[in-house]
Amino acid sequence: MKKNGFFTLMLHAHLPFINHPDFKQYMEERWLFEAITETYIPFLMVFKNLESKKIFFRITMSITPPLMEMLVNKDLQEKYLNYLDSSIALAKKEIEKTKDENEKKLKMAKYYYEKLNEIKKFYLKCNGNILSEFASFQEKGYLEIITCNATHGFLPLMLRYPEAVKAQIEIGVQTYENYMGKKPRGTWLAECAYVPGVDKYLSEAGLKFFFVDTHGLIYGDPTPKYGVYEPVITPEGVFVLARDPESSQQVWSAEVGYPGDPAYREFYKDVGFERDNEYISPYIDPSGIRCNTGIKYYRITGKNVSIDDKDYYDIDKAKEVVKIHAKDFAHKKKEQILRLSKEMGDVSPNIVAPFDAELYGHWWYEGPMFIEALFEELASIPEVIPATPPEVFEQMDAVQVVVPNSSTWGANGYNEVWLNGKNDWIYRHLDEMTERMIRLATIHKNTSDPNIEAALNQMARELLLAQSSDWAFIITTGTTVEYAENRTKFFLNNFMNIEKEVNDDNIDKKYIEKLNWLDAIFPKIDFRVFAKH
Amino acid sequence: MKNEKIKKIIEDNPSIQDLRKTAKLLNLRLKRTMKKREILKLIKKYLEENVETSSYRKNEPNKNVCEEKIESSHAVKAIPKTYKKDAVILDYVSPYWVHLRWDFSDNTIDLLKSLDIPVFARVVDITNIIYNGFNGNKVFQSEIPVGAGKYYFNVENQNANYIGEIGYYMDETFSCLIKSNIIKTPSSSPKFSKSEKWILLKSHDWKKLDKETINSIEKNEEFKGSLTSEINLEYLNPSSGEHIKKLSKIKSGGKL
Repeated sequence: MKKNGFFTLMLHAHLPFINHPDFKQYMEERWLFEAITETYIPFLMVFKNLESKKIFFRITMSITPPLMEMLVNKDLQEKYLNYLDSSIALAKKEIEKTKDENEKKLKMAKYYYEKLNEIKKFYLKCNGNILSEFASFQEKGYLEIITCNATHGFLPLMLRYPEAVKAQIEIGVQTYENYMGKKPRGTWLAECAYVPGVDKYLSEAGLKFFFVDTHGLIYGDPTPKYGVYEPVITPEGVFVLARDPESSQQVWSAEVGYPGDPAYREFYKDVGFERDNEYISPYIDPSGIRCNTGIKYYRITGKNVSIDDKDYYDIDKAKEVVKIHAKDFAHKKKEQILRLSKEMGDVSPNIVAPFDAELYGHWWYEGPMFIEALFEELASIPEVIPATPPEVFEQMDAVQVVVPNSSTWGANGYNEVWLNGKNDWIYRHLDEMTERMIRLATIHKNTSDPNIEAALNQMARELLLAQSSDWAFIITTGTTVEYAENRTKFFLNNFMNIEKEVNDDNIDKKYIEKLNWLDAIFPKIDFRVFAKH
Repeated sequence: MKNEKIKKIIEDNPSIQDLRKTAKLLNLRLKRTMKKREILKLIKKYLEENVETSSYRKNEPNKNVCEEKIESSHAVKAIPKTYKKDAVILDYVSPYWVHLRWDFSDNTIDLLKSLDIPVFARVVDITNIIYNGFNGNKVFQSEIPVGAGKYYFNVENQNANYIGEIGYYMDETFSCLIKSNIIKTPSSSPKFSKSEKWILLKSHDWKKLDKETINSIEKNEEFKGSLTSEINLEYLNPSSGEHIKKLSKIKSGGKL
């Protein structure tokens, strides 16, 4: 009987492509800025800490193509620095303000001021090139960075059009190669959404592994011998890893998950909503719409404590709890591996724990600290070996052939989040545009006219952007519905406008250039990916 | 605050308190002595000056570039309601729900109008049969308004094949006008198999495994041998409830 097993932490870093170069500030662009400040740079800092402490760690991380494109976008980089300066200015102002308010608030104001300055220093030191910082950790073997389909398109509703699925997958690979300088070995499927048939295109694109939700394997054909605790392979020759429900519950569960601890920072109480207008207006959206600033003084306090009765947050107390939680989780993984080993004989179990990367830091402020503390704990637990998927495959003696079940990681496990009465209107338009794209790409696949090429490339960008699963998701969750609907319509209209010009043989070069500036994604795209061969 | 919301407040005959509150949210400076119409004027001026609500312009966009077609990355125009093509599309939502949507050409709409009879959307279970239009295992149907464009059906079987149809009944016989694509609903239960297929990774480099290799292993009947020689006997028969019980024991969260 084996007495050890593998632990694969998988972090899915993704944001939809939001780029408004014609605006000095755009509220939804703050999603990226908040994620850089609270998640991506804190991750890099954690990796550096672990490296300098010589702690063994392995993390698998998907950085999606839209996120890659936004991280390298010069305009967004400049805007991010402005955002950061504004946040630092607010933190400084908060130090003065909280002197008369409360000692604990003052302590946190000083903490934010220092932290934000550290973030800025880090960002400037790497010249804004966060991607190459992540890549350097991959080169050292700590990270396995994988790709995702091009614009996070929801593949189960696209499978009628093989060219569309192929385009999503191939452009995902291309973008990775473009910015990481090598081919990805694995991929995350947007929304963890798998449908039989997708693996064929993954295999054709040279991808060796992907992830599914628990029921993707448990209800697979056949149910794998070791459930979700050993990777399987599809008949197309692509390895599949599945989510361990136990790990997810420990971290995610609203009832028992770590992020809900009373000592942790309360996400929903931010000075952006609390200070008076005159004071806060320079730091929120210019329209006056209130938004998060990242400066928060309260802790969760308790499950049934109303938002007005929250107690003050103390970062040092939270750090103590982080250590307790990391220790608890590490030991639970050890117990789980011993339990699984007992059942699995000579096969080493593999626990796969996938999460949205932005859960750590942005939503769960102490998340990056948790990851650091977790690997510190695991370093003294030989039974649990942190491993990336290729490292797991290397250790396997045999792999079972299984066709995974159609599944997603959305509510109830299938397509409900992305196909329901609120958002189903999107798909008739996406289908129509996909058919038109395939038709035009096939007609013009041998063209050498640069104007036609530029026009069709931009049509492909607009279609891909409209396909992003984020719009349907946002419409379902009811957060920024108007924005999501408008984005969808904006991309579809751009597509139709260019199509008309192509069909009328009347391409307006300046118009295409302007759209290429507004929707500046995938500079190396070739529309022929949509052509029928 | 979005322009649309501000406009609605103005149109709804607001009180001076409402207007003061709105102006405050818009960060407009008010004097204590200002009257209702003066505040209203100020808000209207704000609306005129702020075409975009959630953000503001950096510079004037490049005037040389096609301003008439695209105002900014914020501009939104309506999209067509129909593409006037005959199309019926079926998608699964979950193991027991499917979504049927349709669009019609002018000719089809004219035909349906001329017939002046009820139109039906149907979803037919065609699992394990060659469907000839009449031999479906089970039919789920609903009379539909032609313009509705979509309908959700609650179907009985998971892991089953379905096809959608739009048509009408003539002398109690269904006359199908347009058929959809065929779909298979996802499974919602484990599947047991009498045989397992395993590939020995000692003999086959994982990096080079592809469909062809897997097919050739299958042809050479290497699968069974691999399983017997390499895997703990206790696990040789996972095709049983016992196996699932074991899986349940080793997991403590989530759902099966």
